[in-house]
Amino acid sequence: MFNYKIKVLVIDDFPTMRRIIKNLLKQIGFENIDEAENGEDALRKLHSSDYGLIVSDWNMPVMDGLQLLKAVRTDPKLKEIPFLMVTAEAEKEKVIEAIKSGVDNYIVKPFTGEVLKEKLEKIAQKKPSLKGGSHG
Amino acid sequence: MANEMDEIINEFIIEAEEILEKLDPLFVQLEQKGHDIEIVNEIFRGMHTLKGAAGFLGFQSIVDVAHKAETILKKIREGEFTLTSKITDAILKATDTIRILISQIKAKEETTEDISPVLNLLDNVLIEALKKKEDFEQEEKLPPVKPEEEPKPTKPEEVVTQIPKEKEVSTLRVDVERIDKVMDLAGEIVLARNRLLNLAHKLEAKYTGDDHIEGLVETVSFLDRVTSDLQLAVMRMRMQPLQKVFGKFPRMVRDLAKTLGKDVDLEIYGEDTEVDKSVIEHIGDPLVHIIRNSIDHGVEFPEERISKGKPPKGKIIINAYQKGTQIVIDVSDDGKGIDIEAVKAKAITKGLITLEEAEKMSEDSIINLIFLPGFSTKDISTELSGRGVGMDVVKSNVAKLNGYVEIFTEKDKGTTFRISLPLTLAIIQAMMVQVGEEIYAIPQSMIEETLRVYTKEIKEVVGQRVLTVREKVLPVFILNEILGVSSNLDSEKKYILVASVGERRFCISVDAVLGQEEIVIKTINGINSEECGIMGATITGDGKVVLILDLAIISRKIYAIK
Repeated sequence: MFNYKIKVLVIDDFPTMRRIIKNLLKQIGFENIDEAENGEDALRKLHSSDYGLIVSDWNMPVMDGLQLLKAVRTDPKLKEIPFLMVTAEAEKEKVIEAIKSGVDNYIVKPFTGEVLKEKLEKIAQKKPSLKGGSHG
Repeated sequence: MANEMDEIINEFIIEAEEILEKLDPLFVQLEQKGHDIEIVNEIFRGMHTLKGAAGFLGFQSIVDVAHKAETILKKIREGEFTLTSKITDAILKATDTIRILISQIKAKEETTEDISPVLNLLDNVLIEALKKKEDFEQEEKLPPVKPEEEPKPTKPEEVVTQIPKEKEVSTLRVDVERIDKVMDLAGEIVLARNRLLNLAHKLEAKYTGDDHIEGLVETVSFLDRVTSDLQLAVMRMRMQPLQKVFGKFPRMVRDLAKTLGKDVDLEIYGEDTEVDKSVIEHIGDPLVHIIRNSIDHGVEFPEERISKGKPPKGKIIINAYQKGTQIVIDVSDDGKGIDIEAVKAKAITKGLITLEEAEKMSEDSIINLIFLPGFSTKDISTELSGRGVGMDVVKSNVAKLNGYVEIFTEKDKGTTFRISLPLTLAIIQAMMVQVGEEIYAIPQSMIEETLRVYTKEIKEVVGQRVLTVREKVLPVFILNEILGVSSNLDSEKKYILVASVGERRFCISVDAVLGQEEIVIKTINGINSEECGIMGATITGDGKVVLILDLAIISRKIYAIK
């Protein structure tokens, strides 16, 4: 039901977390998953290759998830990429800020593969690029 | 999938431990610097990260503890209240608990640790801080951030879109066993290289001018260089910064000083100094012991310090640096110094030395008595420095790393413990010497220079042979006598090695100096190296097994006899 060929960028400063999220995405069916350890690292990667989905943690050193989101949304080349924000706890003000800045959805840690899939499905309704082919 | 999960958990354990390791010194920094938002942020992030990952892996206890600690840190970060030592203690307790939980996960045990006391502690601290804040606010409002701090310039939004310069950090986690295997093989190559060099030189002498021989010699000398580079490269792989060991000291010093009612500042220099992994693994305990000793026996109580005209706060300085082919770690305190008379008296009552011996001993050798097993200047060893083990453990642990410990002390000025370690443990530069029929290797690091002198230049002063080297009179010891090997040469010229072990300089006379060689130390099982002054054996270029002498032990023995 998704376009599994797209490149996904997972951003988190903690390697274990990247691995966990990568694993969940693989279970859903995504085949191309890259990692970045902070917003700066992510921007560099986003500029050097085409990505179809960003899954980013919020709290990171150097450049956090919100800064990354703002940078992505103001960049003409990147602004259409679906952006899923990972947060540790649902904090209203923060989430509102993220939504204002153009996040496609957010997910609260810890989450299961099922929840992740649901969130991605919601994003896919708005952003068809994430959707799979005609039979998807 | 189960395997993947195991791998993720293993990775989590390693990384969680790394995070915890980084946290402790941050707390101490925070206590010293006061309210520093950057540090609070870093601690907060650490807790946050632990909580996030632990949640995924189902380690609920870690999530609970980290969450409570995080809540408090968040309030501090947001300036709701400032850090007090009570809060620090509670959060430190939280990190300790998490550490225990992680070690249980590591041991594949059920995480049975009862976390309710620490949760309660954190709750109480939070409630108390919030209450205090209310009281405080009624009185007056003060900005939580220190006023003298410069306001941080806010980053303009455009900066964010700038792409930073390409800097790929590519690291690889490799099993230590694999690196050790490479290290081992590199050692074998060194031995083979030495043997080849030897053979090539012999062949060169025999068939001078032969084209093939020239090619061989050329190739061998190329191999020689490459082998040295390889050796260095492998050594580097095993090197880690001392930060790994030093990181836990600020917390330890803080806790210890507090328990004893003393006030101690810790300064650390040279934590970037890189040492072999095995040094990292084994130097921790001796250092902990020395630091404990310095706080417990060295640094005085504040009142005592004031009466001596010293600042009430004591100071311990750890300084690590490279000196030639050695790594030196100094632990200095500005305390009362070691009481030589007290040490002497103690050693006599403990039956470690006799009264007559004590009278003949130099101050240095008396101070070194504290390294004897069963020595402790305090009658009841305190829980802190005592723990049933004495400074002898320090010495023996350092000796295992082929290093040695020295003590410099001055009454009321303080004491410095100096640990000197070889840069690498496996391969060393050695001087090959001949004594009688035997060949021995002596680590180059301990030899300053080699001389050839006329036998008549060696003078005798009150029963001690001496030689003047560059206007300094140094004692001369004949290696044959020390080792009990007969000398077959009684020539008019002698080979002299000027050795320097720590602060001691002396000359060693040998029958012949055969040259320098890179040797691989192989330990010999079943010998007491402390007894015989032999640190190991090696195989030389011409295939002989040669014993490696430990000048540190030998010098200690000859000076003790003296």
